Amino acid sequence: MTKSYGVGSAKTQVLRGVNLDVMPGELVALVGQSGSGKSTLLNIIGGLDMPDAGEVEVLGVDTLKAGDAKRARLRNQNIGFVFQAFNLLDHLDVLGNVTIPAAFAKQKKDDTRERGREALRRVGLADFAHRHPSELSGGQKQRVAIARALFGAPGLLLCDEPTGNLDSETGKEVIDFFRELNAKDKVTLVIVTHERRVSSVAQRVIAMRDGMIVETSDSEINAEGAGPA
Amino acid sequence: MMPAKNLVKMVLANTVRSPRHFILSSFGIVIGIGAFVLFLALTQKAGHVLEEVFPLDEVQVVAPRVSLLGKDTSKRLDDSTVKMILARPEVASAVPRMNLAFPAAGRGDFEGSDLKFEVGGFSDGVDASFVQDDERIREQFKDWDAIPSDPKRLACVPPGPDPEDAVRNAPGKPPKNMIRAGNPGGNGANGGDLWGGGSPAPAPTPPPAPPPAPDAGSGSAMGAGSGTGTGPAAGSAPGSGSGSGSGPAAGSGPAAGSGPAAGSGPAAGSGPAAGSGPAAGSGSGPAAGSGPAAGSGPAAGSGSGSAAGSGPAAGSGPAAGSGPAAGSGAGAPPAQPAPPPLVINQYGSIGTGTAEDPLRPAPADPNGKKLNYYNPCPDPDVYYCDDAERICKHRVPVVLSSTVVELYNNQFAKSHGMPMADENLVNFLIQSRGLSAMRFSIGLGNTTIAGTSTVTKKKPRRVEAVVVGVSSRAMQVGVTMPIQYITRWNKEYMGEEAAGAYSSIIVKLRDRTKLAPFGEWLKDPNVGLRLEDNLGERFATVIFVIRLLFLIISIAILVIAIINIGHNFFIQVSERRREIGIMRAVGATEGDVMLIVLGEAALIGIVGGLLGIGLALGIGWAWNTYAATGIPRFPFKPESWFEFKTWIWGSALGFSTLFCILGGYLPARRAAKMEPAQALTQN
Repeated sequence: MTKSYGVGSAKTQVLRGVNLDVMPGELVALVGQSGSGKSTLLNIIGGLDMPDAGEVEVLGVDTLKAGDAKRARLRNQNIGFVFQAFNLLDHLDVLGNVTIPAAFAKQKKDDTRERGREALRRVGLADFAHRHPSELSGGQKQRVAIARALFGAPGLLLCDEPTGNLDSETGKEVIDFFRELNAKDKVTLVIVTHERRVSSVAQRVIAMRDGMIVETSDSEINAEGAGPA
Repeated sequence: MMPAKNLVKMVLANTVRSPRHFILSSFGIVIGIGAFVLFLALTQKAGHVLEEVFPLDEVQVVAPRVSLLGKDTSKRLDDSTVKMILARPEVASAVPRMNLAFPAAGRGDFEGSDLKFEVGGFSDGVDASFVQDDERIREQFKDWDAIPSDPKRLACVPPGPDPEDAVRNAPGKPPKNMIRAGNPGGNGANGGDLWGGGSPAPAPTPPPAPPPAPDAGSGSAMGAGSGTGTGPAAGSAPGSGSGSGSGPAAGSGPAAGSGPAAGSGPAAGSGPAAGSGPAAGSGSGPAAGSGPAAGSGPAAGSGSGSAAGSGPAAGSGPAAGSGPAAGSGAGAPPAQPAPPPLVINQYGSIGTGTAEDPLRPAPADPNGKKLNYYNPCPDPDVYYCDDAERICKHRVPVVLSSTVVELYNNQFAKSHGMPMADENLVNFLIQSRGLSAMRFSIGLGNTTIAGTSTVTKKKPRRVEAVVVGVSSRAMQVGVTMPIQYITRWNKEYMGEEAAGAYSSIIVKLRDRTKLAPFGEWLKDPNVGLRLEDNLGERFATVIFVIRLLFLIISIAILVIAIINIGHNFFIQVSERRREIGIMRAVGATEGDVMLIVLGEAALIGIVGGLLGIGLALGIGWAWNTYAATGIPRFPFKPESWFEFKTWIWGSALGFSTLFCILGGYLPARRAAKMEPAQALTQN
């Protein structure tokens, strides 16, 4: 698929014929320099962005052909997002942030708060339910964001530089958590990163440059990357 | 779409967390809606006051004015016109009205002050059935002269013949020519009660009236006194005889009627004699000898007596009543048997025998001289002695409009230092003090406008009227009475022609939509009539235009408020880019985002609208409070200047919500169309 931003001379080709398959249960790392198109690719997978041309099928849904409502439901029920900047809502407390997807869920469920607490327990923040994001450290914030992403028990987790704003210790905890999630719950993860440390846990690393996939590797690169670590 | 409950929750939470945005956005709406509600309520009230002043449910048909060389050649409205109009399918009822076709002046008093006013152009006759406001009006407002069998229609002698005096001179005091000389007791029912103002003076109690002299001889004769000095006169009188009685003989006998009756007539003889004695009776007239002798004696009686001694004494013959008294007569023998006994009737006046025959006309004056004023009319609040027919007639019942009462209050009461009246007061006065509180006289053919009384050659005369109530059907400015009175008076003063021509026809249509077809039909050349210019309709147009203007002003304020809201929301949407992106990422559709923004706008509309309504109510209350004392009274000044109808509130709230949603639409659209990926990846 292809994707460009802007018009005329300012037009930037972000994706130039990307072709990618991610298998259920896979943990894939997308690596590459800034502007290589990896974040755009991630957003297209999540239905937050649309390619100019091509086909996208996520969890059996053709997101190009599906309407806005269908894509929204896909995100609400089957896809979780984790961002570098955490993207928490400052006016809501931790539990409110975690349960916000429920506000847009079609089916009404009575156990929203309980499920929110459960998600917080999973990330180790059960006692922080009524704190506000401003009272949390970066790592805690990211764990809240992960709890939110896990709230709907999604099959696919899309992470955009999840450790970018974290110190290495905290980053490691997050990476370990992802790994466990992938292993235990069979959640498919696509992680955009430029940190070796992150890509080292991936089963497959896809390198991008100038909007194209330039390299796909698995175990060896894994081994290589894991080496110094 | 997200569940409504979640939407409401989110909208409320978002609004609460940005109070500054809310205040900035709602400020204009509060002002705009406040103005909207206030203006609508004000014009609503104005419209209602207008309908009160000019009822819009009826129309008046008039003939277009046409004149040829200064002569009025307008079409006549008469009974056939009424019939023709009644035959129309649009018409529910048609009632003719007639104006007084000649000048007339009114005079009366109100709470002790003398009022003079023009009646000619300001009186209106309508069918009694048309004026039915309350029980009293229904009872009193009718053509009383149509009931000739009314037992109260006693014969009477009206006061001075000149209604100009009657109308123009101070009421309450009879004109000079009504004061009887020499007959101190004579004024039975005090003349005052004929006059509007006069409170009915209690009839002077007559000294116990001596019984009519059974025999002339006694007493009655009296004396003749000086008059006769001469000769034989006295002599013969059976009674006292003394013929000559030079003395002030009078007095003595029972003769002296204290009775009020005593006409002013010559009877009163100058002689001291006069006086007392029942004689006074109506007998007035002839009895009086010229001489002082004037036997007042019972003779006076009906006066008819010719008995009058011829004797020089008595001077003029008839002096002596027929009664035996005849005293002075020159030796005249008692001419006849005793006259019918004088009667003190139930109303305190002494009459001759008339009590037995109330309808008998008052005694004539054989000498062509003025008769004494004689008023046996019962219940002077209601009955008066009529000039023309010389019988007691029921006062002409009139009703006033509330406009007249307002005009009185504002144009008259203040400048003349008179008490304020309102409809309630008028009703109260009538109820508490009887009709005497509101009666007045009308000088037909007279006018308060100097030098204009030339249309009728007929001599002016006076009739008396009484206000029986305030009616919504009354002529706006003037007095309204049963049409029969006007018809009779027009006939009397202006002839048959005038008596058959109506000034207008009040038409009640089956409903308002019938106005147009009915108006068209009137214009048909074969019909040749038109609707009277309806002031109410014109004012309604003015109010409509004012209301429109006010609405435009309010809407202009609202439009500015909406632009302001739109602007604020654009800013807010930009500020909340990231938040919107997050919501999209966790499953919000474009529609959800749009609904959230529109919901916040609508909330501003609802709250702003409520605050605006509150503002309007507050200003309205403040204004009413101020106006109650701070603004001088004027006609139809309302207690509340505003009518805050439910539809005004409802539409205000609806408008404010709708307008805010409109203002929020573009920002909401922008928010919905925002690229969530960009919103999220940019920090």
